[in-house]
Amino acid sequence: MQEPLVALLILAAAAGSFWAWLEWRRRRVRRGRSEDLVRAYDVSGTGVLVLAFTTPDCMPCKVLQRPALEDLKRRFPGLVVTGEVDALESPELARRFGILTVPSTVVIGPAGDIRAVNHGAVTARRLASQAKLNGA
Amino acid sequence: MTQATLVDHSAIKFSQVLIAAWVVLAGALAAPWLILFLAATLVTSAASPSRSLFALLYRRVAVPLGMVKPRVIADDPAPHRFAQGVGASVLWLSTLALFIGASTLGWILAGLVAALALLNAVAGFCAGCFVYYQLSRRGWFRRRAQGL
Repeated sequence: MQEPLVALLILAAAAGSFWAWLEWRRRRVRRGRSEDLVRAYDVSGTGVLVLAFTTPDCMPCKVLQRPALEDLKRRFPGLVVTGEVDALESPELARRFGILTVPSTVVIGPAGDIRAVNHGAVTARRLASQAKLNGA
Repeated sequence: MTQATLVDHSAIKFSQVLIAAWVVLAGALAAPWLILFLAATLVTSAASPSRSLFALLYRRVAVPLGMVKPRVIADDPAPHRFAQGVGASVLWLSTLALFIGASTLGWILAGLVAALALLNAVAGFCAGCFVYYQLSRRGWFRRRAQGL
């Protein structure tokens, strides 16, 4: 009975360390600004930019993340600009946002402030809440 | 190239939650034979997804009782089967460790499978995708493809 408990403690410590490292990376990324991308994607007024990092053979990007982005744009017409980035073709951009996996999404405010970085597929509702869109 | 067919994502999530619950139960009862049974179930699941115990429970119990709603979308089933195969391999290593007396290592490996399955089901973080992306980023797959 003791071994499963020891294993649980070791796993919990490893998971805690991983989470702390991930959070540290997220905070470091969120301190940066990305006005260049807001300009490049022509985000206007109070709109937000959601960048989705993908790779050509990433199926969750196509079947989960892309529909969520389309849903987000449908719910908030004119307020959301989305862009898909091939993380392997744009390694500098992936490095800038600390991308660890695909799909990953980055929510950028109109002033270039980074509001959220998500590792893994996320729903339209979560993205709307991170983007601080009214009605989310 | 990926091959798109219809995949029920609710069935995948159902089996991930079941895997995690099963490992927790095995740990609570300190019953290595439950891990052995789970490893065998995952092998069946990877080899023939529609005939696995999880698929049967999903179709005959979870869906009729309204516990989950099917969510069928066009997807490539290969990565999901691959993930189950990897999970099964780790669980076989876990079983081996448990039966040769390296119990702590055995439970760590079983717990790892459970934690990753739960992380995927709850947070959408796919460990297989993470590993694949990190290897691709280092050019491992391209180098291999060029070398073939």
